[in-house]
Amino acid sequence: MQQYTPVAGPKRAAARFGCARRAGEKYRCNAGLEIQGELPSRTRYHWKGVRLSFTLLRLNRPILECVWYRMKCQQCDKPAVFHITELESGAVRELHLCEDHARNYLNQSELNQSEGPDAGGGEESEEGSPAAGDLPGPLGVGQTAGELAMLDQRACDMCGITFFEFRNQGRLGCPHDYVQFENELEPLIGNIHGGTEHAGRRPSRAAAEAGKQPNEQQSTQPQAELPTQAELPVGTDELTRVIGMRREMKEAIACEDYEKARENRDAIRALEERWSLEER
Amino acid sequence: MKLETLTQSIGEWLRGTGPESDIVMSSRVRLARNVAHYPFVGRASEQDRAEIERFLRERIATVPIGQGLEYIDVGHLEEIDRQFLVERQLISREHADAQGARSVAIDRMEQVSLMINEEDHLRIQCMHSGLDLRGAWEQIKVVDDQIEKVVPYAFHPRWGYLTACPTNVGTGIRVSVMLHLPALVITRQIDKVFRSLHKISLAVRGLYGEGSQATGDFYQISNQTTLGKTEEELVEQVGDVVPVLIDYERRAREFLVRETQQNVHDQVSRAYGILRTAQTISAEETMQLLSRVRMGVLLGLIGDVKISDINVLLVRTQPAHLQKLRGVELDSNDRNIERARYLRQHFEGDDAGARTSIN
Repeated sequence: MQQYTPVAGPKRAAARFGCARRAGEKYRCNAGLEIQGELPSRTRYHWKGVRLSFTLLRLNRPILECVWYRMKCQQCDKPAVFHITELESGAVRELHLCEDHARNYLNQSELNQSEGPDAGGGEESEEGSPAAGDLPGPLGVGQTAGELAMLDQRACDMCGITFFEFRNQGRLGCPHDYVQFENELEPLIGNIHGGTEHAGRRPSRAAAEAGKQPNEQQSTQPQAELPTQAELPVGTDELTRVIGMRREMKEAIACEDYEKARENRDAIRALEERWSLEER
Repeated sequence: MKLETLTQSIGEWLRGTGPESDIVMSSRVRLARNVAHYPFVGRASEQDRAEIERFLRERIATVPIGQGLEYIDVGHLEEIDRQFLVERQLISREHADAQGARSVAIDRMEQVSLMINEEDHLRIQCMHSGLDLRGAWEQIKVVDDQIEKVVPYAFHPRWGYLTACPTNVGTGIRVSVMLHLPALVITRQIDKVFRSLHKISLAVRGLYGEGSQATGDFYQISNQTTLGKTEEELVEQVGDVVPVLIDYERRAREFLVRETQQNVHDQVSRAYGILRTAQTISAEETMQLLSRVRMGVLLGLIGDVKISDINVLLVRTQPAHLQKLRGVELDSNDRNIERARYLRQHFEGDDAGARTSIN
């Protein structure tokens, strides 16, 4: 069964950018899909009517005007979002699955492999990279599908974005995510930048000495006593809590719990005043 | 300053008067900042975005640098005006095409532009003509310091300035230089250059930044990492590489003149000829041909055209500029015809009113 309907397209698309598709190279299209290996350049694909361009990652410039057409799940009729390459002995098997079927498939194979000794090579691979256990997403950390599924459910306390949403869109939801998902982001950020400690300029807040480490890990009640304006910490996670408070306030209003809504509103005002967001 | 008055001037990046401006078109420094008490733009609701936009606009207006800025509400602009700003490199393509409340504040010299609600809440950009990264960095530092006094930037002691995309976290700085490298393209050394740049973690992009093509032999070199180094080190990292590239390009040009004079002269002359006599011409082709002619002028192969003229043409033949200049909206085919007419008139030079004055 063909998963996609190719529309015959010009080879000159590849020649035009001076760089034909190559095996072993990594490409990313502007919808966030990453492909490794041969990009079929003689065919054109459409994906939801959107014209995609593929960028050769090592050069960071578009090399192919190519669009992906109606990649359907192999087990149902929904669009395929997981593209898995199984490297079995001697054979390479490509799977295109929608979210649910992919989850089933991966959980299934994880169950199958948990019987034998866990030599670390038992995870299924994706996009041709062996023994990494990576699902689409930039994690680069060896994780089983089960662990990843659990991690995906975790959400930010403030803005509510789930880790799964972040992995799919590549963007975080609010500043608090960097605190909430600090451990998971660390290897990712280390991969991107080669360093994980900020060395550059810092905001010059009132009375904040350089090198002073504020208590940004606090997760105590938002109603805790707030120190005075003169002791503003350099990190702004305290202020970011307003995002969560605003969300709670809206929910409280929707549930007609006006008492709680009022408390939230007062807490928000106090914080905003402390950080001098109100008009002076 | 309305948009119409901008059409009279040429903009900063094509002014062509900075150091090394035969090869370096512009130097640009960009800082990505977010306010701490709202979600990032991608997650913010429509109302959030409007509130962020209003908050930033009001706060920026209270600082000295903010008072010298012209404010433009991009969300309510016509498409052609948005395209116009993109061509001027004052806003990015994403900013023009996005939805929701967003705006930009620009200074009169068109050197400083503050984008509100692009990928991050606030993107400060400073652009100088020619090779002047240090000057751009000093200017943008002042802007950042002033705004930081009235806006609480989202900051983490370990991760630095927090941004929507982890690829920008830390310093949030993007240092980039726009180079014109036609000789390296002709001598097919450009791929080698890219590879070596990539090894020292510098990114190469086309004329309009991320996701754009290298039209007209213009390339943007920028840093890829933003965390772990100071801003000065990143500025130096890019700044140190540029003289090397300039050297390569100059040597490639010399090589072309020495070894293949006939060939290069022919290519350049053909480009010049087409520009002067075509009846319909696309923007892309115009840019390619102008790039050749520009190199021809710099190599001394074409005598009767000035570099500043080429720069004027590079900006005025772009779609939105062309339409605003003629004061009429045109579809693609008509634009190509109009562009060709504009070029013919310019090179002939004696039609009354054909040559618009350059400020």
